[in-house]
Amino acid sequence: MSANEEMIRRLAKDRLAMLGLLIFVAEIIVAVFAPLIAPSDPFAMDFTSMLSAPSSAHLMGCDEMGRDIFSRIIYGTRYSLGLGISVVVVSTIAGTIIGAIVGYFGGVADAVIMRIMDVFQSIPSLLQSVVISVVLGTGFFNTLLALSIHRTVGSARLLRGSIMGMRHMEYLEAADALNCSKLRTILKHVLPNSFTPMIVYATAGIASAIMSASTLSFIGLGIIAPTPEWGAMISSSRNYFIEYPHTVLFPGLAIAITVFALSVLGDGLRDALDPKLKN
Amino acid sequence: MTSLVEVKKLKKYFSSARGLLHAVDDVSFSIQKGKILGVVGESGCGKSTLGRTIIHLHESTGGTIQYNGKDITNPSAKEIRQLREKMQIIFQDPYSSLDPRMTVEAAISEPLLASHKISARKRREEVTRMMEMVGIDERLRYAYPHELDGGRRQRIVIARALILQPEFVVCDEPVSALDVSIQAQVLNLLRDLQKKQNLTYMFVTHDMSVVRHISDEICVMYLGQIVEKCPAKQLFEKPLHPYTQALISAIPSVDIHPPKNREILSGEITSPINPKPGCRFCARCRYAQNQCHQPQTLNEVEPDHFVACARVSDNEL
Amino acid sequence: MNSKDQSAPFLEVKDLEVFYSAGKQKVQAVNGVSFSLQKGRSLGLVGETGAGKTTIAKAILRILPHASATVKNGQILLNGTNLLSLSEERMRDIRGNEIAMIFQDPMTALNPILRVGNQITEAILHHSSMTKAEAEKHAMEMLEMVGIPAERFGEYPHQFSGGMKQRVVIAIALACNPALLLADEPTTALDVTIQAQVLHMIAGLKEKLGTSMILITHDMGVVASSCDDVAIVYAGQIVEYGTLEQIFDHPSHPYTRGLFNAIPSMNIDQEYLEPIDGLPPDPTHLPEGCYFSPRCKYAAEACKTGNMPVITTADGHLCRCCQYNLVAKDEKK
Repeated sequence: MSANEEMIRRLAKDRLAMLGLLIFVAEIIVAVFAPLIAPSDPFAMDFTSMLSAPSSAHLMGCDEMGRDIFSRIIYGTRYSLGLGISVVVVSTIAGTIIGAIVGYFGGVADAVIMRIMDVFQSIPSLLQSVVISVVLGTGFFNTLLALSIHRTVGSARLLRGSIMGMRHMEYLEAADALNCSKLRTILKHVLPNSFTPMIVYATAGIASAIMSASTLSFIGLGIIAPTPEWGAMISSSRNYFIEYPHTVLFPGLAIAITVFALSVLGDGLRDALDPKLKN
Repeated sequence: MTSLVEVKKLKKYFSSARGLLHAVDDVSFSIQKGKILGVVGESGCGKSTLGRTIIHLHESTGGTIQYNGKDITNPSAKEIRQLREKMQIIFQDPYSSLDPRMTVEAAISEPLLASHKISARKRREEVTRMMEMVGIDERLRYAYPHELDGGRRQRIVIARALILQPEFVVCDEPVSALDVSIQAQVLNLLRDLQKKQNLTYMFVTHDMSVVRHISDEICVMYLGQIVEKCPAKQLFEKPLHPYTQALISAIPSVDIHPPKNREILSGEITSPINPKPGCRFCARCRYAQNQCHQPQTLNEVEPDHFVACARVSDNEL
Repeated sequence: MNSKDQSAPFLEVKDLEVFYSAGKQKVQAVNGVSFSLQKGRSLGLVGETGAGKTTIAKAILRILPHASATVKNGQILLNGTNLLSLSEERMRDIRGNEIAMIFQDPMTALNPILRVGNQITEAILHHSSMTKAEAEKHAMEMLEMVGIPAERFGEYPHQFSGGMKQRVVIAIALACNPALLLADEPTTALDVTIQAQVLHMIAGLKEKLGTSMILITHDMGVVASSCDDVAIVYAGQIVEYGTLEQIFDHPSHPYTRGLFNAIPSMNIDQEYLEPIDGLPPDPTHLPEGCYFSPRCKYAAEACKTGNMPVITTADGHLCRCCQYNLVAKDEKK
């Protein structure tokens, strides 16, 4: 049995992680089939039912513009989840390239790039995202960029550390002796053996990217109303929170459930990948 | 007889925080085609570095390396790739020299994938041929290294090194990590392959009985330098350098009759960082005198028997 | 421990059985090991990786991991007291005071951030009623005794070479003058000339202090140079036991023979070596009958079922093989 199969078997035994995975997969399905699931248009305003409480017509009630909150949360998966996943994909790819180069080759490139990274990492992530958002403006792609830079630095560092820990392994020297090109060595030998912490980091990263995106949206940066991003929804309804808590409660719950699901999945993955950690 | 590999005054220094580490210092020897040269010495004597420098896993600091009469001291990247098909290495630790995420088949076929464009079918055939040759059961084709014992892993490492049909193989302590009964199996395999394919080995080890068993000629290294070089049997029958004598005397022998009278060295090994010019063994040598603090040269004191010891050369010992 | 009777064995291990469990799998690491050791003598436990040598030593010292290892059966009598029935508190007294252990890798046994002298002093203070000054003086004596100048008392482990570190470890182990020393591959990590120094030193100290020793090793040569008695361990069993001369001059078990034959000779030229065929058995699935039978060229039908009895071939020479007569007929290489 390969190491991967064993890992999957261990993960499958972790009930909480499986629940997380179930929720995550369900949300992705919801995002893909949003138009089929949502009962109404998320942007359609109905002034007759402004701030109306949950009812059979509007499962989660309506917001201050009379938009159906349930439909907005359904569509919101596309933005929140989409943004979270995009941030992780972009930062993981960028981080892998940088981390692999500095980790494997070391030397001057390592010293220079890592000092630049230090500068980025010395700035708190939220502040960094806020500044970039202010400069670039709102919108999906600008927010994606604002959130990806910090994570890129984080994943590059993580991968670099992981690679440095295996650089003395004889099979890398063997790869050299066996005529493997540098590229082949990195792709075939270095990355497969150093990538596991990145998977854990990425999974948990989706959750934190969703949180950060919601935070940005809440303070009016990132993705703004009327786009049904969950953070933006909370932000636009915050003035009505006391009298009409459902306007904030449901998007808040959506964020909480997603973050919970991804966190337990991330923890489960970490335990499954390194069974020694758990005991 | 032509020499397949010939090194002259080869040097490999590493820079360290405390100065230059002279890992290999002025080493010269040649290996005839189809012969086995044993290189023996204790940890830190530079024997592994020497092997790795010859096959260009390290860049040499000075001296020349010739292969088949052609100078290969400073090859281009392309030349290195060509050389690697002729020169291979078998590593000491089969636990760390195999990629844990590669199956037996993937590991053995890696050199083919890395340098040749051959069909997948041909590649599988080659792997089958190699697995048969080193005695790995076909059912283990898709096993992972962690499922195998040390002896089998080392067989895979050997198959991987030999699949490109090299002429020269550096065996870097290939049996040191193995238990005695398995060690004998692997040594027999290496000997067998060497005969069948007319391979040339540079056999690096710290084990005196292994080096005696496998080598045609032996170089004894101490702190980066060759102190004695001669045909294998002669080294054990008539060791001339005081270090070789101490080394042979220190071997824990299984012969209990009569109980061995060991020569116990005193003193500590001198540092290989910025060493003084004289004999590097003299701090531990009971014969050391003034002339030992001068640079030593490897002299032929008897036919084919070279010793780097002024006192032996001067017939004083 | 005030037994004055020199003829009764100082240490006696009887029918020791140790299991490791990993998940649902049970591994039989030690399968009924019995041996005894007289005061002042040294016993070599010889075997290959995974044979259970270290487990035996750890069982004697009661330092097996609680979570995974179980001592299922047996007695370990030190001067007549069964160590396995002692309280943990009483056992702590015995460790260091009466039994000390040296591990293979000196680097992991020393604390890198403490001066070596202090590490020896601490061991002495821990196990005796000496004052700090007395303990320090004794620690310096111990350093000198293992051949390290007392001036190096204040240095850190990284300033020592591998051989010197192992000597420090030995100094710590011997600081409280234990009656029994368990040495687990004490020289395997060392170079051969340094190994010779350390073995020479251990032999000298043993003689001086009258310590009994169990030396665990895979190297027959090391046994030859430092042991009085030898036990050959295979798959968690002692397959042959006797004095050094009995084992080395008349090896009777096919496995012992195989071990000797597999070592490249220093005197005879051989084209090929004589390895033992096959591999050591998987401890989760031990073979029926004699554990060595699948690899044994002498194996007969009788070897493949039941428990192989221990046969006394000469005075004190024990062999777990029913074919020992056939083995004896073959010339030893």
